[in-house]
Amino acid sequence: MEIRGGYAGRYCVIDLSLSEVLTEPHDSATLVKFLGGYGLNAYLAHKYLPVGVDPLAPENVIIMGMGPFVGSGAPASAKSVVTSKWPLSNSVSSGNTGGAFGANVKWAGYDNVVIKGAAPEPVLIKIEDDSVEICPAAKYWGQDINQATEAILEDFGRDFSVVAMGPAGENLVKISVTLVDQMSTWGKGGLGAIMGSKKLKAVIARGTAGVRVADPEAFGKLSKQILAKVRDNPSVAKWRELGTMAGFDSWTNITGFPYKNHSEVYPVDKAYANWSPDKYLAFKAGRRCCPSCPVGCKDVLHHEGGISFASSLYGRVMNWGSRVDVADFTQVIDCQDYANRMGLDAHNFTSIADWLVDIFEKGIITTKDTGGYVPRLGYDGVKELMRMVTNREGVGAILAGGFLEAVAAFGPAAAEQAVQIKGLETLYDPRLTTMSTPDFSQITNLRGEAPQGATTSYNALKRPVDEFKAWCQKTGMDQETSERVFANPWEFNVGRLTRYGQEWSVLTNSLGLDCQRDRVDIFYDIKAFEALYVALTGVDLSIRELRQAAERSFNTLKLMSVREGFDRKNDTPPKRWFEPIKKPYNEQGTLKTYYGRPLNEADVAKYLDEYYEERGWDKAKGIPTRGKLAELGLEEYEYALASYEQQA
Amino acid sequence: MSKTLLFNSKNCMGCKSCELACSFKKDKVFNPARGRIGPSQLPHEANVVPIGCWQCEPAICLDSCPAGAIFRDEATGAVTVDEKRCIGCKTCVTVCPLGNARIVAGTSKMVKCDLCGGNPECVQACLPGGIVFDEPDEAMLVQRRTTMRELIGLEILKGGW
Repeated sequence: MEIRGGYAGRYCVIDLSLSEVLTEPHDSATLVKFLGGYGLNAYLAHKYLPVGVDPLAPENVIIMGMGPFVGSGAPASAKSVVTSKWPLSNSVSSGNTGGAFGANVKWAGYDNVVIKGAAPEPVLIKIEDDSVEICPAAKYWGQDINQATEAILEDFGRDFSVVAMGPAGENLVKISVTLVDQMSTWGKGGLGAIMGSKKLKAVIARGTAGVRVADPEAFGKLSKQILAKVRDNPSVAKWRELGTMAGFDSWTNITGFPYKNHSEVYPVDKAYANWSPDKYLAFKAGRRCCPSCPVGCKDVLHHEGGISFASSLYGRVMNWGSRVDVADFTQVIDCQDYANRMGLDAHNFTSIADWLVDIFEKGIITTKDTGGYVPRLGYDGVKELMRMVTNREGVGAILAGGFLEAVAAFGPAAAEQAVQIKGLETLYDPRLTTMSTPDFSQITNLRGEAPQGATTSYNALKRPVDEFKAWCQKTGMDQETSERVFANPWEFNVGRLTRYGQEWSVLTNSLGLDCQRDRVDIFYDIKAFEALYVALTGVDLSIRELRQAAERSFNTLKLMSVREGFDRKNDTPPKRWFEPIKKPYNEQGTLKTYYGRPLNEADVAKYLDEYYEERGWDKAKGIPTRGKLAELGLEEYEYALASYEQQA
Repeated sequence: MSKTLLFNSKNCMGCKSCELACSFKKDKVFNPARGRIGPSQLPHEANVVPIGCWQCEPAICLDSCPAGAIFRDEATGAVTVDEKRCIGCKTCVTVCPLGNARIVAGTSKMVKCDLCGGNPECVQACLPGGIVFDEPDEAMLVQRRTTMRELIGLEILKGGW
């Protein structure tokens, strides 16, 4: 089969131990089988990532992937995917980002970047068209992400895109990430630490070869049709103006921010007083976005006489404002700025800090456990704790290991209070957001939490069931499946629907097209994907084949964790979800379906059964069957099931 | 004054859709390096500054070309290069202070913005209004004249062409 556009058709492999760079061709059949991005990364994990590695050992591999659409002008074609074995969860899964790095790698002419081994001294990897080099980076070691990025741009050229980690990564802090171009986070689960263990300060890219298109006329026409829809939508200007703060009213009023380690909801009037969209606008210095995005949601904020970038301000407000009780907006921005520069993951940090203070205040741990330190929330306490975590000082060293290490250190009573899945904090509390697909997907996600689970539109409450049916239709769901998902026509079966929410996310992240934010996803549907794919690549894939490729990719990535022993026991909801949460006006929030039916543990377990059943997996074990692998053309991956069986 | 590209750095989000639309229109490939427009660099600052050709009057690139390959399009007022006449001497590249005359890597031909015959692709691709196609107002004209005077001592945009 001839591929005539989109894909570069090759990838580079950098061995930091041997100081070697190889360029390998991609087989066309493999490209189409896994689509690219997320899917192709899963295939490369099977090819390059050995079973049972220590995530911080040289044998761990970082796989970066950019789908065929990345670097093209199709609206919102920017998402890149990184796949590795994560220090926080010890599972193999993926993380997404925007930013210009992926586009530059595609313009340089690569579909993937595979990094293995560890360098003896600090290095950076430079990808510049046909040249891929390992360059000395000692001068940037010790610098924060902003300093290092600016220094790298000065030395190498200001049109490079830079993925860099900060002091947290250098110190192998597991709750660390990287920033793409000082703005977009990448690699929740500990990419910073993985790069630190490889002495890899940054990966930079600049490309001038471009992305080819098989049928430019058709592609141009289709892209313009999508763009016209965006242009004609009356809400886009508002979304662009407010960024993610456009969701503030809904989140604050209807859902509520989790507070005090998921025991309460942040007082609504205080939230408005502190962080309302009006107040946000006073801090707004500009708007940025991912390459080719017509909507835009990245923030540029006034900060200490200069500016600071934030990849999703509403998320920051929730993290710093509610979880760790930083009321003042200036201080919220400063906390995020600090986390950015250190390369600390804001979600990971704020959740684990919230928990630490909770168990300390409950007397579950004392100063004996914290080395004499009295942990507290609020601006001063949290900045101090961030400094301690970054530098692995005192109790900071325990938090640096994430929930799995911290609950092991502090004991079962402390573990009871930890609201986490597979070692990562939950993003959504379904007692507030209801048990919709993003919430439920947290149980089964490979890395342990959202938002890769399903489109974010289903966090907005009180949408009629017809909207869910319409979403299913636009994503190409067939009639038979729809009848199972909507067996009770007034609601959806969240266990079954989550499979399809996850696979839509897999599809977009494999193609490198569309975005999981509702405000972009509403402009795309499976028919557009089908038409754009053939216009871009010259390869005619049917809707069924596209959907199956997404299923195949999810199963492949799942197998990379299954071979390590992950199964149903790891897909466990937190106990806290089955206790009430204190809501405003003395209301008790309890676990319910999206449309309000109460849920207990048995109900959730049944939804989990239905999720596995919908996936065609073994229900008891929660893993793919040999039959499913054969159906997906993954017979070569049966070793993963054999490896799992050996460990059982 | 005829319509030209006007740039608004407060609206620009740095999405590079303009560069991608331009290279796609002209060369059927998505490649900012082949765009005739662009911010190209995305600084860690409040605003991204889109840069494109001002279609100056007089145009120093046009006046400097030894091959007479640069001319003004009568319909749009765009300063346009005739690729067949271009000898790749790069005089225009040297003299344009904004870098809007570019040599495409691997060729020896200059390319520049020609306003796409009056319906610029970059403008179609720019939703937030970082680039618009309109007649410059007096403030914009003053700003451009001042800049060009300070950069290369040239008086431009004094009147219609």
